[in-house]
Amino acid sequence: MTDAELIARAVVDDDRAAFGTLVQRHQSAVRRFLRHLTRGDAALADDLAQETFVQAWRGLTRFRGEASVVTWLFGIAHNHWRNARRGRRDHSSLDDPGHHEATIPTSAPLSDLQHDLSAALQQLDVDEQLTLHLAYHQGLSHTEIATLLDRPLGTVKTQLARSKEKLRSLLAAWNPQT
Amino acid sequence: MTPDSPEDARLEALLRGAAQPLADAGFSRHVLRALPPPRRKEKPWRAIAYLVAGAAVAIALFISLPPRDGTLIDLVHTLADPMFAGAVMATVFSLLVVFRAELRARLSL
Repeated sequence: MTDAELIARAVVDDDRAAFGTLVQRHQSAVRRFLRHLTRGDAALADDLAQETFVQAWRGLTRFRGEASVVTWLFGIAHNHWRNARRGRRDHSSLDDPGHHEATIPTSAPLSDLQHDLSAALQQLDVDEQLTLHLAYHQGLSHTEIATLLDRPLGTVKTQLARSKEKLRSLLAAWNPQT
Repeated sequence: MTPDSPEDARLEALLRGAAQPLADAGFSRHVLRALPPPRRKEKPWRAIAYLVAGAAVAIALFISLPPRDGTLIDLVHTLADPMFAGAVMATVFSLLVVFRAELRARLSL
């Protein structure tokens, strides 16, 4: 069953099982996106992901199908994260550079090259990391990234090219034979 | 190094390969538990009863209006008649009652 069919069943019949299938299908992407935004704070990311899906349930009738479901969910998640960051800025910062981890989940065994990549990614600025995450970890198109982050398409393309160039330079410097 | 060079392709493959899916581990169940309670199913006969009652009240009020001769000033008198206002209100009220669930969903109340 497609995402659109699941949403239709959830809206028309108040079908929670259909919505549950949608959650199962997209939970990994949404939670990974939020883990990226929260710099690997899995508990906070999961709380925000839960709020994201509850908000999505409430707003299902407003889903028009102009973007994919996952892009729509990312939009809600991004708003929740921004609100959480605003609320916590005075207490514990979500932008704390000392809290920088898990661009790649720490449970995964990392090869040397992946380890170098993870370290190189952390040398990039937050926006560059986010754009790379959306493009390569989440598989979003340039247009979807531009829509989600409310940036011109050209800016997204330029940023991606520049970020990859920086990564290549860093990896080449650390590991010249690759 | 061009964007389509083998180095570029290797870097993109490495970036894509770093994405590990997360196991659900009960997350979906927690989300479903956190959803607002199911909405009450409206019985169709009840909606029809509201509509019929509203229409009956509106028709009765219209019938009770005194006969008019169709001039513009007469139309103004009709619009100003409390019975006419009552008929319109009965119609609007019955429609609001029948479609309240849809309105609530659209307005996200």
